[in-house]
Amino acid sequence: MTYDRQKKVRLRERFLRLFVSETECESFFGDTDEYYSELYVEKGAFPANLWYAFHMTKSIITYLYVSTFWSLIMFRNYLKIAFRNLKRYKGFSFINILGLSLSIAASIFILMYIHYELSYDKFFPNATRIFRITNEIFLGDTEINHSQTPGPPGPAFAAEIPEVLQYARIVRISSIGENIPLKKDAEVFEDSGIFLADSTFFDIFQHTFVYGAPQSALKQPGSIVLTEGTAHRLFGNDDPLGKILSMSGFGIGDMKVTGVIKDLPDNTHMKFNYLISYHSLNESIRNEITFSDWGYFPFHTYVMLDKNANLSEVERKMEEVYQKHSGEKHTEIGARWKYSINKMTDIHLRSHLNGELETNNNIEYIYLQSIVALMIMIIACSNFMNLFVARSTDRAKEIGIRKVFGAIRKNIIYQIFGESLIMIIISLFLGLTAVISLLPFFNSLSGLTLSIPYIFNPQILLFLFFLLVATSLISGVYPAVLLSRFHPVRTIKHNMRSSRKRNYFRRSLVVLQFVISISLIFSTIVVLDQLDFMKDQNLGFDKEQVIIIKVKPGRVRTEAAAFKDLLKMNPEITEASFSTSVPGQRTGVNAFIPEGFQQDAPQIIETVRVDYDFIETYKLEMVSGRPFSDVMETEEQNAYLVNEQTAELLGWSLDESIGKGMQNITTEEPEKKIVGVIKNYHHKSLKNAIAPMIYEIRSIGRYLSLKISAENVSETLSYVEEKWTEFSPGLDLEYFFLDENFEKLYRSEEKLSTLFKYFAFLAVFISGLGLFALATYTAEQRTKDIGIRKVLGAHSAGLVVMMLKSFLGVVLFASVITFPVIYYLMNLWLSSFAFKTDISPWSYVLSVVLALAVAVFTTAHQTIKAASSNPIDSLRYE
Amino acid sequence: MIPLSRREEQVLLAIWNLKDNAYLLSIKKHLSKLTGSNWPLSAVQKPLLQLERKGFIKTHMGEASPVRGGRRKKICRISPIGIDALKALRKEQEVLWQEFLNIEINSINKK
Repeated sequence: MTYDRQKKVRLRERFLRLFVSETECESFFGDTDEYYSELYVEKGAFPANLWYAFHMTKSIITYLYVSTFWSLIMFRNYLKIAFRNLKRYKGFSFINILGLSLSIAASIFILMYIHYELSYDKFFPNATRIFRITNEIFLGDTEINHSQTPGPPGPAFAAEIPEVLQYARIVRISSIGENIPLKKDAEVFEDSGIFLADSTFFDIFQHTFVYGAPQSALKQPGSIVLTEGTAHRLFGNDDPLGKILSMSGFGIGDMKVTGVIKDLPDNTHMKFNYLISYHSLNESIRNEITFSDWGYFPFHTYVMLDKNANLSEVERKMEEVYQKHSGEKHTEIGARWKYSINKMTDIHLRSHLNGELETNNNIEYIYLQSIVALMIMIIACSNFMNLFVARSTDRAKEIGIRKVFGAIRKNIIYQIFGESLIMIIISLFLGLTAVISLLPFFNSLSGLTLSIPYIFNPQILLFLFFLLVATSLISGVYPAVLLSRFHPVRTIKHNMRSSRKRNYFRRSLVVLQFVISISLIFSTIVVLDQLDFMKDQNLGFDKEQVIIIKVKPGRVRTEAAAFKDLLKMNPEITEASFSTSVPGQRTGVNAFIPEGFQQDAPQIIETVRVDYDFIETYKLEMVSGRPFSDVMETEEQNAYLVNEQTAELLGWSLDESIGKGMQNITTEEPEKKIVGVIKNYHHKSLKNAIAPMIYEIRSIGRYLSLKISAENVSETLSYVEEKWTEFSPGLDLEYFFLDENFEKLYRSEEKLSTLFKYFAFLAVFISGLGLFALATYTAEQRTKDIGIRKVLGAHSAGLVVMMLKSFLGVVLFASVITFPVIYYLMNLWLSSFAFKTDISPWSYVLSVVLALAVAVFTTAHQTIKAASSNPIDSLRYE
Repeated sequence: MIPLSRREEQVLLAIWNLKDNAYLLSIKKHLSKLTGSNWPLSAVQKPLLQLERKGFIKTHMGEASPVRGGRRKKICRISPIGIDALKALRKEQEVLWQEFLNIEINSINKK
C-alpha cells in the first residue's frame, strides 16, 4: 500500500499548530507524518488515523488541563492577595470604594436621565421615518421660526412630492379658537389635551389600540379616540366603544368613541388625552383653514418619508410646492415663507421653535451633564491610581518575589488589572444599591418617574459594562505599568523609595482633581448668582400678591365685567384686570405698518390685549402720554399703547410716538393711534431681551389678574372660588401666583444649579477623600524624616507648615490654571442671557478658598499627628 | 552539575547509539524496541527539549523527504557536556550501586 497524504491530516495539523511552539513545528510535524505513514503502510489507514486522532485529542486535553489548571491556581492566588490587601489597607480600600461607588452611582443617575431624554419618541417602530414640517417666516428684517404650519401644506406636499408617503396634522382645539370643554351626558367635563387629528394620524403614529382599530378610528366625522387612562376615568370599567362625548363649538356636536389607545409614555413630545377626527369640524371652518389659507398656522404637520428620501431634496421640492401655491401672494405683502423638515426624534432635545407642543429640553444641557459625570468619574479614578501608586512601595516586595518565582511582566499587569477590577466591581454593586435606594430622591430632583427596572434596560447594562471596563482600564493602567516594571532584585534588596517622577505624576493627578473641583464649585456659584440675579431683579412691574385666574368658557367669559365687579367688591381684592397675556406667559405677535413706513416693510411686534385696569394692576409706569381710560371708551377702540422698546425700534422719541398711527396687517384692522408709552418692563424672563410690545384694549382675555392684599389670602381665595362656582359651575378654578409662576421660567437653570450643587459637593468630597488618604500615606512615609528633623531642632508647627505647603501648593496651582478656562466657559454660558450678572472675582476666590479649606481640613489631622509624634518612636529602630 | 532525569538519561543514550540518525521518531523507535514498551512521541519530545535546553545535545536540521510532508528532521547529536554528564552519572551510579551489590551478593553467597 502506498502512502497517500490526506487532506484531513492537514486540517488536524493546522489545529494542532495552535499548541505547538513555532520552532518545533517543522520537525515535530515531520516526525508525526513519518510515523503516520509508517503505520499507514504497516497496519492500514484506520489504525493510522486512530493513532493520529488519539494523540491529537490527548495533547489538546492535556494542554487545556494544564493551562487552565495553573491559571486557576494563579487566579485563586491573585484573588486571595487582592482581598488580603483590601483587608490589610482598610482605610485605602474604604476610600477607594466609597469614592468609586459614589461616582458610579452619580454616573448611573446621569446616564439614566440622559438615556431617558434621548429615548424621546423613539418607541414608534417607524420613528426614524417620521418628520415634522416647520416653517420660517421672513417678514421685513425679522425672522420667526414656527413649529406650526398652515393646513394646506401637509396634503399638498403628500400629493406632489413622491418621497412624502403620508401626512397627518394635529391641532390643539384651543389654538383654533377658545378652549371649548368636552361634555359627557350634557355635563361639562373639562379636560386638557384635546386635539383634532387627520384620519391618517395612526398610520404615522403607530399607537397600540386597546379598543377599536387604527385604520378606521378617525375616519368618520364625529369620532373620538381616547387614551386608556382617560377612558377609565370617564367610563370606569365599561367598554368605552360607542360611548358619546360632545362638544358645543365648531359644529362638532356629539362624538362617538371609536378607539382607545394605550396610555402614552412620558417620553413623547406629543401628549394628548383626546383625539377628535378632523372631519368633525364644521365644513366651512374646515374648508377655510385646511385648503385655502396658507397664512394661518395652527397645525402641527407630520409626514412619513420614504426610506431613501434625501432630506435636502425633499425640502427643495417643498419650496417648489409652496411657491406654486402661495409664494406670490406672500411676496405681495413682503413676506417669505420657508418650509423645512425636522426629525421627530430630534424635537425633544434640539427644537426650540415657537408653538412647540411642550417645552423641550436642551441638548447642550445633556452634553454638560455627561461632561460633569465624566469629571466625577475621573476624580474617582485618579484617587484609585493615586492610592495604588502611593502604595506601590509596599507592594514592591510582593512583585519582586513574584518575579523571582517566574512571573513575567504580563502576569503582574494582569494581576493589577484584576485587583482594580475587583474593587470596581464591588463599587459597582454598592453604586447600584445606592441608585436603587436613592431613586425616589432622584426622581423628585429630576422630575422624572423612573422605576428600578429602568436600570436593567439592556442599553444601560451595556453601558455599565463599558463603564466597568473603562474605569478599571483607566485606573489600572498606570499602576500596572509602573509596578510591573520593578526590578526584582532591587525591590528585595533595597528599600524602595518613591521616585521623583512618580511624585510628579501623583501631584498632577491631585491637580487634575482640584481643577475639576474648583471648576464645579465656581460654576455652582455663578449659576446660583445668575439665578439670584434673575429672581431679585426689579422686573418693572409689581409681581407681589398677584394671582392669575385662567379664564374658561361659561358665564365668566360672557359676563366678564360682572364677574370682575363682583370680585372687586371684596375689599381684599384691590385690582382686577383681564388680558390675553400676563408677564411670564407667551404673547401673540402681529405685523404692523407704522406711520411713515413702507407697505412692504412690516414690523413684527408682540401684541397683548388688555382691559382698562391692566396698567394699574401691574403698577406699570407711563413715560409719555396716558394710559387707557374707561371714560373715553369709544376713543380707546382706536388707541394703542406701546412700550419704550417699540418706540426705539421705530426710531421715535417718547414724545414723538404719541399720536403716531400703526396699522395691524395681521388682523387687517384700520390704523390706530398711539396714545401712550409704557416704561419697559420684563414681560418675559430675563433670559430674553425686552421685546417691542403693543397693547390694545379688549374687555376679555385668557387671564384674569387679581391684585390682593397680603392679609387673609386664603379667605380671599375661597371667596374667588365661591364666585367662580356661581358663574361657571362644573369647571375647576385654575389659578397661580404670578411671582411663583414667573420663577418657573428659570426651571432649567434651577435644575442646572441643583445638578452643579450636588456634583460640586461630590467632587470636593471625593477629592478630599483622596487627599486625606494621600496625606496619611505621606505622613507615614516621612516619619523618619520628621524624627530626624525634630532631633535636629525643628518645631512641630514648622513641620506642619512644611507638609501642608506641598498640598496647598498643589491646590493653588490648580486654581491658577483653572481660572482662565472656567472664567471663559461661564461667560459663554452667561452670554445666553439677555440680562446677566457680572462674574465677581470674589466668587472665584471663594471657590479657591473652599478648595483650600477642604485640602487643609483633610490633611491637617494626619500632618499634625505626624509632626507632633515623639522622634524616639520613629527613630528607635535605626 | 546539572542533573539528568531517568528519561533524559535514556534518551541521551539512545541518541549516542543512533549516531547521525538521531531524531524524534528514530529515538522513539529505538527506545520502544530496546525497552519493549511503547514510547509515545511526547515521552521522547519532552526530554529532548529539556536536553537541548540544558545543552547536553546539539541539534541541526536534516534533510526533508516526501514521506515527511516535505519537512526537515531535527537531528540531535550529543555534545561534549552531554558525554561528561553521562560519564558523571555513570560514576555516581556505580558508587551507589556498589554498596547495594556488595551486600546483596554477600547475602546470596551466605545462603
